[in-house]
Amino acid sequence: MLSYIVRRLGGALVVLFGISVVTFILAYAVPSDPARMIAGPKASMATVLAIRHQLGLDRPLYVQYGAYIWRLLHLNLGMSYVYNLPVTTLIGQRFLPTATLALSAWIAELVIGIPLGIYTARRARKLSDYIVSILALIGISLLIPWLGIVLLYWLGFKIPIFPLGGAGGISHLILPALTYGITGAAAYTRLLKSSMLEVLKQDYVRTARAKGATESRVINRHVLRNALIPVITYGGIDIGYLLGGVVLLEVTFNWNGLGILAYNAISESDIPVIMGTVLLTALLVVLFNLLVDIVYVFVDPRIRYG
Amino acid sequence: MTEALLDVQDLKKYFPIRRGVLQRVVGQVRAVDGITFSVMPGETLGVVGESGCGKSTMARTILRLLEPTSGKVEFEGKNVVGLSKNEMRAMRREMQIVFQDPYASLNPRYTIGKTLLEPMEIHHLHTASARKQRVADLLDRVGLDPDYTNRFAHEFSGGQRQRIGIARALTVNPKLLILDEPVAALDVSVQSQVLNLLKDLQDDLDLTYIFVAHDLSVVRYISDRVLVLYLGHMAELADADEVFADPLHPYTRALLSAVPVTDPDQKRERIILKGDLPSPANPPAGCPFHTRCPAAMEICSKQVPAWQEAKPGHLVACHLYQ
Amino acid sequence: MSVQNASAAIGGASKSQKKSRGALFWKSVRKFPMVYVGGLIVFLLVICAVFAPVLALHNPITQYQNGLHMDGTPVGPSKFFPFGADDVGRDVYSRLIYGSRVSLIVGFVATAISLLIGTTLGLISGYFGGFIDTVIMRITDTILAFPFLLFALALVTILGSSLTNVLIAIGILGWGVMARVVRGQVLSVKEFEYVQAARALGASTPRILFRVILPNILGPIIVLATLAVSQNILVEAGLSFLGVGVQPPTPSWGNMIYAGVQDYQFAPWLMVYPGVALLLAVLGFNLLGDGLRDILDPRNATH
Repeated sequence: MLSYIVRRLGGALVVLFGISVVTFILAYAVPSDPARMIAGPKASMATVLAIRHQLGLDRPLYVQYGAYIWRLLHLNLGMSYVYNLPVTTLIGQRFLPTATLALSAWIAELVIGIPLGIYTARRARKLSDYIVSILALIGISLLIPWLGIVLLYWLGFKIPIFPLGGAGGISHLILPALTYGITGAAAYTRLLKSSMLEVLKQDYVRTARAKGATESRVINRHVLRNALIPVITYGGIDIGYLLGGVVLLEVTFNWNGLGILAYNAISESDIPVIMGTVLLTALLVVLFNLLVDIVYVFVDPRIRYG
Repeated sequence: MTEALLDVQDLKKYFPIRRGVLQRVVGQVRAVDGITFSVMPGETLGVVGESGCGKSTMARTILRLLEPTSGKVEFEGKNVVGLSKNEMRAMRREMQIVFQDPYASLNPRYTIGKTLLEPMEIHHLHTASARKQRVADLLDRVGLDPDYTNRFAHEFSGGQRQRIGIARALTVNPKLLILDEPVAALDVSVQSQVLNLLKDLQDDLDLTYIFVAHDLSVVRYISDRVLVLYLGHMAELADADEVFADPLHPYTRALLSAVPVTDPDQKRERIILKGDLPSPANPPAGCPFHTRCPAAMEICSKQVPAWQEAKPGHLVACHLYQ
Repeated sequence: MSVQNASAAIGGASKSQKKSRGALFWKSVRKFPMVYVGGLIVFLLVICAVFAPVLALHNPITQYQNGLHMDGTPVGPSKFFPFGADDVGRDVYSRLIYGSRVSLIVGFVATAISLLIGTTLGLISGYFGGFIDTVIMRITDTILAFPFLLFALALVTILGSSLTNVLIAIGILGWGVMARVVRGQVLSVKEFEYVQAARALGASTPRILFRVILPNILGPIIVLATLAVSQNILVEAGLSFLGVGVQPPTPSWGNMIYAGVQDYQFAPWLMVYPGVALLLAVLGFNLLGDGLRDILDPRNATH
């Protein structure tokens, strides 16, 4: 088992290396001259060259990559062109709001998705299954900002129950979380439904029923426990969607987090900030997937970790 | 003396077992561990053994569907191991295989016509119209209606599928056919039809067969000589009649004692083998069979018995005859 | 009875079996009626995109004076502007019709790019295994580690905002899941003896990959592609909403929604119609993909 975990860690390291290469290429090799961007359009060629030298942009690519990795290892993501502050500082300021938002959004997905999954599995092929499944599909087909604004208008403006965006207490979290929950829950519903249907067919479930266990006991003790395993895997994949979706949520609800930071950076071509957020979110995805892999070992005794 | 068509020398196929963080090779499954035999043109060599004895692996290694770990496979004096991709492709016209599972061995997306045309396309044989004619001839040859070319595999019964599999192997006019348990998945009544078809084909087309099976009565019916394998090793090799009349290796005797007899009055001692087949990842020292052998002696666990002629034309690897 | 006669008799039986297989397919389609709905929506969408010039009432980028009230606010739905006019007096209905082109182009072309990369890499990875497999799967993991929308946002920003760059960004970021699924399918199919038989017959590796294995895993790939189309349409709309991607005045549903946000209070049609159009389009592909998956799932086989 230890060797399995160590191998997963190794795989994650390789992926981190891949991420660093991709972000390096995007940040340093592709865009129009960063030195020109810093110097501004009116600066003389000499100034640009000086800045280029200062940034090390005149050195060979592998040297630049080495320097890039060196800076990353020292948690140095460079300076924002716009704010003139270290990117790590900017990210640090907004990490917590975004984490709070993402966590609430994820909880909303589970709270909506899992009960619906159980419900549709138990009513499979009945009218109520079709209705709930189609509602879930409609949810997954909605554009986050569109749903967000409709909800904001009705539940924030027309019937002012919730605040009209911005950060604050729990009341500020409910609408964004609900928005994301509605658009993301269907994935969990669908997955849980099919894995429950699979488990319900197993002999041990029939045995449990045969020995007279109540239906709720059968579902809770025997079915859910096994059916939730694939859902855990999806949780790892979902983190990627979540961190992407959070950008749309933040822009829609004017939630001042990493998403807005990235969004503003994009309109201002503030490449260190863009790459910083991309790098951080990719890192988070890798970490969460690693976590899921490890949790998996403990939840699923069948897993081979030779 | 005629030249052997196929000459297999000390053929080995090991599968690595990987473990640990770096997936280092910590051991090997010795699926085929030093097999030597030759096949004469026109003969049928039966290969028998329990499941897991390496007979299927051997078949696939001879055809290089699996790369051999070491050893030689000479076809008409030419070593197949080490042939380049193109040379190997040409060689594949000479040796073909018929698989066990009639359901898995035909591509469900192909019509029967396509299944039979493809090999000729690969090897650029015949003109387009001649190919079509050949497909019809082959179907007729294996006892199927030539009008079936536009049907798909799922529309046929197991026996019919196996006939298609045989026809496919014959498209390229091979000299050697390796039959990997070709009738094991079929009903007994269909088995004999397919076996008779194989016999007819052999006579008409001068084919040479390697017939892999675990069913001894089938092997006896079709084979000229029989090779008995145990745990990737050769146990015994002799003429079919000889093997069945006077089995020398205790393992062969045990196998034969398990064959049902048609005469209820005939008394035969049933030899029940002790224990399970050992893992080929961790084969016993000495004779691989000594852990289950009713006649095991002290030497058997220490020394590998030599492969030698116990009677003229009757080879065996057993300390009883050394 | 000769062998020929016997098999001819069986052949007769299998003829009717062939017919009933087609019937079985339709039976399972009837079992999942939502496929029809999804298919119909997708069909209508394609009609909209192809015949946009015929179906549109006005030029989608012409700013009509009678589209604005005296105070400069857009006029609501009327005979002349069925879905109202936008903040500069353009016809929302016609823009909506033309907007379907962007969504469909992104949906289809980006998916095709992902499909090409993902299927090829998945085939190679699954078939060859070993070191090649490890390398390809680590690259796939790397691609999958980037949050799709955020990375697409960064990529389009760096490449420059345009429909082509949106296509490229979504296409080259979206192949990860496909590569994984295709690889898994290849792993199970390559063990079948018909693949071994093709090798024994001397079929070249490309032939085995693309003519033997690929047709046998087409079902799951089609399902995956259909669902990817719906996802890619949403991502494009998301990017347009964030101001990256198709630039005004070219209409896309995403930038129409974005433009309508400020005026939602007094001109809700600006946002509602493109939102609903987007919902229908994405839902159509989702229904189609989900339904196809259910039909192709052997556990739901009718026989």
